[in-house]
Amino acid sequence: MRFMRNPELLFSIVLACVLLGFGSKSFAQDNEIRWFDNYRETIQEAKRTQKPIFLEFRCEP
Amino acid sequence: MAGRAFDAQVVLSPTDSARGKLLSQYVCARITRMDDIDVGLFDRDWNNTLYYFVMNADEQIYMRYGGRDARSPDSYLNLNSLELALAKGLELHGRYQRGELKKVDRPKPLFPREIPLLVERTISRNACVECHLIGDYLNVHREQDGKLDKLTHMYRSPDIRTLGIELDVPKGLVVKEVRGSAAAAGMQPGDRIKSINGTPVWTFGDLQYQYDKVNRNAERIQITIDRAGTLIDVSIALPERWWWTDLTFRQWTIEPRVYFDSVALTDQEKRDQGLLDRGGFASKVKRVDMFAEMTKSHELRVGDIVFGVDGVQRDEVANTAELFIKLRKTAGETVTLDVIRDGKRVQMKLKTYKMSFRK
Repeated sequence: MRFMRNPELLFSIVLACVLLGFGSKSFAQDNEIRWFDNYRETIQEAKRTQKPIFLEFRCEP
Repeated sequence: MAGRAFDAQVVLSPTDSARGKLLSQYVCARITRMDDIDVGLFDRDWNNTLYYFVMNADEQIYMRYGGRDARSPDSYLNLNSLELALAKGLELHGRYQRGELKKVDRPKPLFPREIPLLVERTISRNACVECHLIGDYLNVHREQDGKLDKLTHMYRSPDIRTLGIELDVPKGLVVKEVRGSAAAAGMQPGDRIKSINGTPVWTFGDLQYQYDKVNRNAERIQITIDRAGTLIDVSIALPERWWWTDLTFRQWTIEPRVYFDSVALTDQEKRDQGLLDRGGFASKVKRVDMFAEMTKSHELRVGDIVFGVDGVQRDEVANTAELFIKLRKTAGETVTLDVIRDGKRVQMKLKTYKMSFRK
């Protein structure tokens, strides 16, 4: 299969599955960081927790 | 895809790792659609497909992380330097909460839906607002409105290597090697860059963003460095065309594509050809791109000397005919070249090409 010959593609598929698999406002598995995918909710959470924000912009064409 | 592995390593950081422990003290967000994002607040070089901000709930930005050069999108992405940035971000947040940091005025908001070409060609088709399209369309609008400054808008993110500064990337803003203007100004390996023109910088992303803000007509920049605990100001002379970078990786730049590379003739070489020496942009073709033939853009050959474009032979900025066309012409224009080929002066046409994105 194509992705078996292309480790980078395989890696991307795994990452996409991890990220898309949750399909909700945020995503995380056990022993992983919770990541929000909505800017406004990120701000609200930071207000609630008084934590700083680490914001990633990822362009996925 | 650019930054894919780095992105995954960050997102999938185990909570019991050093990086994970730092990230756990943040609210983390990964945004992949720019539709409702204030791109005025999060202004950056839009040809970075991966970019980070450390900020707070008041939308005050502490620092940026990311940035690239023409060689690679990954040149400055490094997990060690990211950890340094995350630790610094926590420190800055503590200072902000204690009222020790001044609030910065929020930049004028700008949302993707306010960029007409983006709406027409992307948003209205329910297509993804890809980051680079924001920069691309802003530049197209600037060009249409006569507000395009190519040195600033087209040649975004000048390369600090032009100053002779090579960073020790895992260590953030620690200088690894120094040459050229930076060496002449007294910068040394091991120095840590602290500010540029008075603005504090914590990461390469900060440094590149602030360096990009330097007026293209400036002659010097002031950089403050930390050398073994002592802060030292160095004044670095900006070399000619310090803002120039290779735009090849920018897929839909407004730069007119000319499909040849050239090297400026020396003053002696110009005199030998009976050309203007000082200020003349006569240059020798050193490479012809295969697209020149495919697109029938021009018939230049390696070794040709191009000494005039539409009758003009000198320019206050451009030192080659190639750069003159890129700076002074609009993509899609056809120009007449004055060329010396095998010792004979001839004229030929060159049709510049406008890049279009793959969609």
